[in-house]
Amino acid sequence: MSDDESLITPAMEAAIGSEGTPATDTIDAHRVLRLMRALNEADADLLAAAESGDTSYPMPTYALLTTSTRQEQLSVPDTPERALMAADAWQVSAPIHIGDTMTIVPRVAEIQERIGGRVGHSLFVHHEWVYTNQHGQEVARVRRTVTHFQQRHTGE
Amino acid sequence: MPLSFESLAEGAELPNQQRTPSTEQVLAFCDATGTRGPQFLDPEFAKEKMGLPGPIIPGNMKQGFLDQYLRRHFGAHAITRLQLNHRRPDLHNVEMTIGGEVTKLREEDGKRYADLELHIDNPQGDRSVRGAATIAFD
Repeated sequence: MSDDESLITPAMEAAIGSEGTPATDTIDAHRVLRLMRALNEADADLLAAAESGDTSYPMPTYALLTTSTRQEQLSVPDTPERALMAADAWQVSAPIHIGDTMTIVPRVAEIQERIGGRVGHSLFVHHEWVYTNQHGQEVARVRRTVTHFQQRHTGE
Repeated sequence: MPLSFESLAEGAELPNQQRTPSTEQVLAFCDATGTRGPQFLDPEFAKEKMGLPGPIIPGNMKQGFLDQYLRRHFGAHAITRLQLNHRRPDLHNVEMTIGGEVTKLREEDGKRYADLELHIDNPQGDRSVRGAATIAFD
Protein backbone atom coordinates (compact mmCIF):
# COMPACT_ATOMS: atom_id res chain seq x y z
CA MET A 1 0.00 0.00 0.00
CA SER A 2 1.39 3.40 -0.93
CA ASP A 3 1.54 6.22 1.61
CA ASP A 4 -0.96 8.15 -0.51
CA GLU A 5 -3.63 5.53 -0.05
CA SER A 6 -5.95 6.09 2.90
CA LEU A 7 -5.95 3.42 5.59
CA ILE A 8 -9.52 4.33 6.51
CA THR A 9 -11.88 1.83 4.95
CA PRO A 10 -15.68 2.13 4.58
CA ALA A 11 -16.07 -0.44 7.37
CA MET A 12 -13.99 1.76 9.67
CA GLU A 13 -16.04 4.81 8.79
CA ALA A 14 -19.18 2.87 9.61
CA ALA A 15 -17.78 2.02 13.04
CA ILE A 16 -17.39 5.69 14.05
CA GLY A 17 -20.02 6.60 16.61
CA SER A 18 -20.98 3.00 17.34
CA GLU A 19 -21.73 2.15 20.97
CA GLY A 20 -21.12 -1.17 22.69
CA THR A 21 -23.13 -2.96 25.32
CA PRO A 22 -23.11 -1.19 28.70
CA ALA A 23 -21.15 -3.05 31.39
CA THR A 24 -21.32 -2.64 35.14
CA ASP A 25 -18.60 -2.92 37.75
CA THR A 26 -18.14 -1.98 41.37
CA ILE A 27 -15.27 0.02 42.81
CA ASP A 28 -13.95 -2.79 44.94
CA ALA A 29 -11.82 -2.04 48.02
CA HIS A 30 -9.60 -5.08 47.55
CA ARG A 31 -8.80 -4.27 43.92
CA VAL A 32 -8.25 -0.58 44.70
CA LEU A 33 -5.86 -1.54 47.48
CA ARG A 34 -3.91 -3.86 45.17
CA LEU A 35 -3.63 -1.04 42.66
CA MET A 36 -2.50 1.41 45.33
CA ARG A 37 0.24 -1.00 46.35
CA ALA A 38 1.32 -1.48 42.71
CA LEU A 39 1.64 2.30 42.39
CA ASN A 40 3.53 2.55 45.72
CA GLU A 41 0.82 4.83 47.09
CA ALA A 42 2.27 6.94 49.92
CA ASP A 43 -0.93 8.64 51.16
CA ALA A 44 -1.51 6.93 54.51
CA ASP A 45 -5.07 8.25 54.89
CA LEU A 46 -6.03 6.99 51.47
CA LEU A 47 -4.51 3.58 52.14
CA ALA A 48 -6.34 3.38 55.47
CA ALA A 49 -9.64 4.29 53.80
CA ALA A 50 -9.19 1.57 51.19
CA GLU A 51 -8.10 -0.97 53.80
CA SER A 52 -11.18 -0.31 55.92
CA GLY A 53 -13.51 -0.16 52.91
CA ASP A 54 -14.60 3.38 53.84
CA THR A 55 -17.37 4.22 51.36
CA SER A 56 -17.35 7.94 52.15
CA TYR A 57 -13.69 8.73 51.49
CA PRO A 58 -13.09 10.14 47.97
CA MET A 59 -10.93 7.77 45.97
CA PRO A 60 -8.35 8.97 43.45
CA THR A 61 -9.36 9.04 39.80
CA TYR A 62 -7.01 6.14 39.14
CA ALA A 63 -9.42 3.89 41.08
CA LEU A 64 -11.36 3.74 37.80
CA LEU A 65 -8.47 1.73 36.36
CA THR A 66 -9.64 -1.21 38.49
CA THR A 67 -12.65 -1.46 36.18
CA SER A 68 -10.45 -1.76 33.09
CA THR A 69 -11.54 -5.33 32.37
CA ARG A 70 -15.15 -4.11 32.08
CA GLN A 71 -14.05 -1.20 29.93
CA GLU A 72 -14.56 -2.96 26.63
CA GLN A 73 -12.52 -1.54 23.79
CA LEU A 74 -14.67 -1.94 20.71
CA SER A 75 -12.93 -3.60 17.82
CA VAL A 76 -12.60 -1.55 14.69
CA PRO A 77 -12.43 -3.52 11.43
CA ASP A 78 -9.38 -3.43 9.17
CA THR A 79 -7.00 -1.75 11.64
CA PRO A 80 -3.33 -2.86 11.50
CA GLU A 81 -2.44 -5.32 14.24
CA ARG A 82 0.47 -3.36 15.76
CA ALA A 83 -0.91 -0.86 18.21
CA LEU A 84 0.24 1.42 21.02
CA MET A 85 -1.65 3.75 23.30
CA ALA A 86 -1.13 7.32 22.07
CA ALA A 87 -3.17 9.41 24.49
CA ASP A 88 -5.49 9.24 27.48
CA ALA A 89 -7.91 11.88 28.64
CA TRP A 90 -10.11 11.77 31.72
CA GLN A 91 -12.86 14.29 32.35
CA VAL A 92 -14.04 13.74 35.91
CA SER A 93 -17.30 15.30 37.03
CA ALA A 94 -18.18 13.55 40.31
CA PRO A 95 -16.34 11.89 43.20
CA ILE A 96 -15.50 8.20 43.15
CA HIS A 97 -16.10 6.03 46.24
CA ILE A 98 -15.51 2.45 47.21
CA GLY A 99 -18.73 0.51 46.65
CA ASP A 100 -19.90 2.70 43.76
CA THR A 101 -21.47 0.70 40.96
CA MET A 102 -20.44 2.09 37.62
CA THR A 103 -22.20 1.59 34.33
CA ILE A 104 -19.67 1.88 31.54
CA VAL A 105 -20.73 2.58 27.97
CA PRO A 106 -18.06 2.16 25.27
CA ARG A 107 -18.07 4.07 21.99
CA VAL A 108 -15.81 4.54 18.98
CA ALA A 109 -15.57 8.32 19.02
CA GLU A 110 -13.39 9.13 16.05
CA ILE A 111 -10.77 7.78 13.63
CA GLN A 112 -7.98 9.85 12.10
CA GLU A 113 -4.93 8.97 10.09
CA ARG A 114 -1.43 10.34 10.02
CA ILE A 115 1.19 10.07 7.33
CA GLY A 116 4.77 10.08 8.60
CA GLY A 117 5.93 10.19 12.21
CA ARG A 118 7.76 7.58 14.29
CA VAL A 119 5.58 4.71 13.16
CA GLY A 120 4.95 5.76 9.57
CA HIS A 121 1.48 5.88 8.07
CA SER A 122 -0.81 5.18 10.99
CA LEU A 123 -4.34 5.34 12.29
CA PHE A 124 -5.51 7.04 15.47
CA VAL A 125 -8.61 5.39 16.87
CA HIS A 126 -10.31 7.40 19.62
CA HIS A 127 -12.25 5.18 22.03
CA GLU A 128 -14.51 6.70 24.68
CA TRP A 129 -16.15 5.30 27.80
CA VAL A 130 -18.79 7.10 29.82
CA TYR A 131 -18.98 6.14 33.50
CA THR A 132 -22.26 6.65 35.35
CA ASN A 133 -22.71 5.77 39.03
CA GLN A 134 -25.61 4.04 40.79
CA HIS A 135 -27.34 7.42 41.28
CA GLY A 136 -27.43 8.02 37.52
CA GLN A 137 -24.75 10.70 37.84
CA GLU A 138 -22.07 10.89 35.17
CA VAL A 139 -18.76 10.39 36.94
CA ALA A 140 -16.23 10.40 34.13
CA ARG A 141 -15.59 10.36 30.42
CA VAL A 142 -12.47 8.43 29.57
CA ARG A 143 -11.02 8.84 26.10
CA ARG A 144 -8.16 6.73 24.83
CA THR A 145 -6.37 7.15 21.53
CA VAL A 146 -4.74 4.04 20.13
CA THR A 147 -2.25 4.28 17.26
CA HIS A 148 -2.37 1.38 14.82
CA PHE A 149 0.63 1.05 12.57
CA GLN A 150 2.11 -1.30 9.98
CA GLN A 151 5.85 -0.85 10.32
CA ARG A 152 7.96 -1.50 13.41
CA HIS A 153 8.30 1.23 16.03
CA THR A 154 11.62 3.11 15.92
CA GLY A 155 11.89 2.70 19.71
CA GLU A 156 12.33 6.42 20.17
CA MET B 1 0.96 20.59 52.87
CA PRO B 2 -1.24 20.85 49.75
CA LEU B 3 -0.86 23.94 47.61
CA SER B 4 -3.71 26.45 47.88
CA PHE B 5 -5.14 28.41 44.96
CA GLU B 6 -3.78 31.62 46.52
CA SER B 7 -0.25 30.21 46.61
CA LEU B 8 -0.19 29.55 42.85
CA ALA B 9 1.03 31.84 40.10
CA GLU B 10 0.79 31.42 36.37
CA GLY B 11 4.12 30.17 35.04
CA ALA B 12 5.16 28.69 38.39
CA GLU B 13 6.80 25.29 38.14
CA LEU B 14 5.78 22.38 40.32
CA PRO B 15 8.56 20.40 41.99
CA ASN B 16 9.90 17.42 40.08
CA GLN B 17 9.36 13.90 41.32
CA GLN B 18 11.32 10.81 40.31
CA ARG B 19 9.74 7.39 39.83
CA THR B 20 11.47 4.19 38.76
CA PRO B 21 8.83 1.51 38.17
CA SER B 22 10.23 -1.98 38.49
CA THR B 23 9.17 -5.02 36.51
CA GLU B 24 7.51 -6.35 39.69
CA GLN B 25 5.48 -3.15 39.94
CA VAL B 26 4.41 -3.37 36.31
CA LEU B 27 3.35 -6.97 36.88
CA ALA B 28 1.38 -5.97 40.00
CA PHE B 29 -0.22 -3.10 38.10
CA CYS B 30 -1.24 -5.35 35.20
CA ASP B 31 -2.69 -7.87 37.68
CA ALA B 32 -4.63 -5.21 39.59
CA THR B 33 -6.10 -3.55 36.51
CA GLY B 34 -6.40 -6.46 34.12
CA THR B 35 -4.07 -4.66 31.71
CA ARG B 36 -3.08 -7.08 28.98
CA GLY B 37 -0.42 -6.79 26.33
CA PRO B 38 2.84 -8.72 25.87
CA GLN B 39 4.66 -5.45 25.15
CA PHE B 40 4.41 -4.69 28.89
CA LEU B 41 6.03 -7.86 30.18
CA ASP B 42 7.56 -9.96 27.40
CA PRO B 43 11.04 -8.72 26.40
CA GLU B 44 11.17 -10.87 23.27
CA PHE B 45 7.77 -9.71 22.02
CA ALA B 46 8.59 -6.07 22.75
CA LYS B 47 11.85 -6.29 20.81
CA GLU B 48 11.03 -8.67 17.98
CA LYS B 49 7.42 -7.87 17.24
CA MET B 50 7.12 -4.24 18.27
CA GLY B 51 10.63 -2.95 17.61
CA LEU B 52 10.83 -1.54 21.16
CA PRO B 53 14.04 -1.55 23.25
CA GLY B 54 12.35 -3.73 25.89
CA PRO B 55 9.06 -4.15 27.76
CA ILE B 56 7.41 -0.82 28.42
CA ILE B 57 5.41 0.86 31.17
CA PRO B 58 1.65 0.77 30.42
CA GLY B 59 0.28 4.19 29.52
CA ASN B 60 -2.45 3.93 32.13
CA MET B 61 0.19 3.22 34.80
CA LYS B 62 1.80 6.57 33.96
CA GLN B 63 -1.68 8.05 34.23
CA GLY B 64 -1.77 6.67 37.78
CA PHE B 65 1.62 8.24 38.54
CA LEU B 66 0.44 11.64 37.31
CA ASP B 67 -2.75 11.32 39.36
CA GLN B 68 -0.60 10.62 42.44
CA TYR B 69 1.70 13.53 41.58
CA LEU B 70 -1.26 15.91 41.41
CA ARG B 71 -2.79 14.70 44.68
CA ARG B 72 0.59 15.03 46.35
CA HIS B 73 0.64 18.74 45.44
CA PHE B 74 -3.04 19.59 45.59
CA GLY B 75 -4.39 17.20 48.20
CA ALA B 76 -8.10 16.57 48.12
CA HIS B 77 -8.82 19.27 45.54
CA ALA B 78 -10.62 17.64 42.66
CA ILE B 79 -8.78 16.70 39.49
CA THR B 80 -11.44 17.41 36.89
CA ARG B 81 -9.29 16.78 33.82
CA LEU B 82 -6.18 14.73 33.21
CA GLN B 83 -4.83 14.30 29.70
CA LEU B 84 -1.73 12.47 28.56
CA ASN B 85 -0.11 12.27 25.16
CA HIS B 86 2.24 9.32 25.06
CA ARG B 87 5.14 10.42 22.90
CA ARG B 88 7.77 7.82 23.71
CA PRO B 89 7.75 4.50 25.54
CA ASP B 90 9.22 4.35 29.05
CA LEU B 91 11.09 1.21 30.05
CA HIS B 92 11.04 -0.85 33.24
CA ASN B 93 13.60 -0.01 35.92
CA VAL B 94 14.46 3.33 34.27
CA GLU B 95 13.97 6.57 36.16
CA MET B 96 11.21 8.92 35.03
CA THR B 97 11.03 12.56 36.06
CA ILE B 98 7.54 13.95 36.55
CA GLY B 99 7.03 17.69 36.54
CA GLY B 100 4.55 20.40 35.76
CA GLU B 101 3.76 24.06 35.44
CA VAL B 102 0.76 26.26 36.22
CA THR B 103 -0.50 27.64 32.91
CA LYS B 104 -3.68 29.44 33.91
CA LEU B 105 -5.61 30.41 37.01
CA ARG B 106 -9.27 31.21 36.45
CA GLU B 107 -12.68 31.57 38.05
CA GLU B 108 -15.85 30.28 36.47
CA ASP B 109 -19.32 30.31 38.02
CA GLY B 110 -17.84 31.07 41.41
CA LYS B 111 -15.39 28.16 41.29
CA ARG B 112 -11.64 28.50 41.02
CA TYR B 113 -9.55 26.38 38.70
CA ALA B 114 -5.87 25.88 37.98
CA ASP B 115 -4.87 24.61 34.55
CA LEU B 116 -1.55 22.80 34.45
CA GLU B 117 0.88 21.38 31.95
CA LEU B 118 2.45 18.11 32.99
CA HIS B 119 5.28 16.02 31.67
CA ILE B 120 7.30 12.88 32.13
CA ASP B 121 10.93 12.92 30.98
CA ASN B 122 13.29 9.99 30.53
CA PRO B 123 16.93 10.09 31.72
CA GLN B 124 18.04 11.35 28.29
CA GLY B 125 15.83 14.39 28.85
CA ASP B 126 13.36 13.30 26.19
CA ARG B 127 9.74 13.98 26.93
CA SER B 128 7.89 10.67 27.00
CA VAL B 129 4.57 12.14 28.09
CA ARG B 130 3.10 15.58 27.58
CA GLY B 131 0.03 16.12 29.67
CA ALA B 132 -2.43 18.63 30.99
CA ALA B 133 -4.72 18.79 33.98
CA THR B 134 -7.27 20.97 35.65
CA ILE B 135 -7.66 21.21 39.42
CA ALA B 136 -10.91 22.56 40.91
CA PHE B 137 -10.52 24.32 44.27
CA ASP B 138 -13.32 24.43 46.84
